[in-house]
Amino acid sequence: MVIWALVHTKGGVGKTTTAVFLAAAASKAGWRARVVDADPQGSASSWADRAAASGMPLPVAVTPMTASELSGLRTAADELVVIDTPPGTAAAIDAAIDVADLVIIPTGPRAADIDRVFPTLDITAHRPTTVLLTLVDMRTVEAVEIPRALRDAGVPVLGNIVRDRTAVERAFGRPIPRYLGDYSDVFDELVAATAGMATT
Amino acid sequence: MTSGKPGGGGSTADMVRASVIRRPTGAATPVRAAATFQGSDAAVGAEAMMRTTLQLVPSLRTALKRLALDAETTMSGLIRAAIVAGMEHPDELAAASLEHRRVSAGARTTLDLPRDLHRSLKRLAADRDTSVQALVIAAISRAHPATK
Repeated sequence: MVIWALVHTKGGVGKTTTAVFLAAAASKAGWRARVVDADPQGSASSWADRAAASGMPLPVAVTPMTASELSGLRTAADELVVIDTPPGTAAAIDAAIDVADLVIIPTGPRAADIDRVFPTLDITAHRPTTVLLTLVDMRTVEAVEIPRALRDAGVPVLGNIVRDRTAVERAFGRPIPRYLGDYSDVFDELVAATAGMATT
Repeated sequence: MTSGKPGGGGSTADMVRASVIRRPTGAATPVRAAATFQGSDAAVGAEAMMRTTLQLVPSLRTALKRLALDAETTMSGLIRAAIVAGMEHPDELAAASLEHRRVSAGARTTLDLPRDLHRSLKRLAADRDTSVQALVIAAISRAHPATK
């Protein structure tokens, strides 16, 4: 089994969206995938419920879990589990990091988001970790400068970024769009980058 | 797990992987989110410094600076030592601080105090209806009478 945890100690950086879209990308690629919703706010679960109510359910199951349940997380041998974590509930964040084969830190390019990347990297030091830039407006200087600055600072940054797209922004509560855009590329890069890594 | 999926074999160059995935190194105790972001006495640690603001009248500030220069230390170092000495007799310090209450004039300066000492001062100020500022000024006066 493989567990990816989406972690960032700040909110509004695209954790839930990334969790659902990455699981959807895995499903589209023929994988067995599901999302574990460790956020007490239950955004991923709410998304799944609304999509199901519309008659077009998400392609992956979303299961709510508490921090204590996370530590006992069991998955099938050929399954990818993507954990969505809350920004402020430390117990859930710690539990998700501890069970993850890979911690993904999605972050926007805004200064307030980047500022919290570094303490987040501190708490994931004992697990393989990477940073994914999300909500990137390609018209801005930050689209180029922020990835470069992070790499210069020794931060492990994925080559692919997730652009700030209206289709992604509007996706909450709806079925996943057929075109997964940047998330397909991100998923492919994560698969390639984690090949050969030890798994749970 | 079949090749191509996470955990399976792959063909991406190790250098490229290393640039995008940070592998854990060493066996250091993990930093925990609970300690980093939610704070607690245990998490912060007794050695953590707490910052407080003082107002020192110009004559006292100048005298302290001179003393610090002569003793090859800092003004903050002198004040901290004075507070530690003063807190050995908290009742006397609290009594002496009464004349310094509600006196706030002069230049603002910041003082970093060990967490435990800062807490003791705050508690004493609350218990004896005085202020941290007054306690600190009293401690300085007791330790360095020449600054009066």
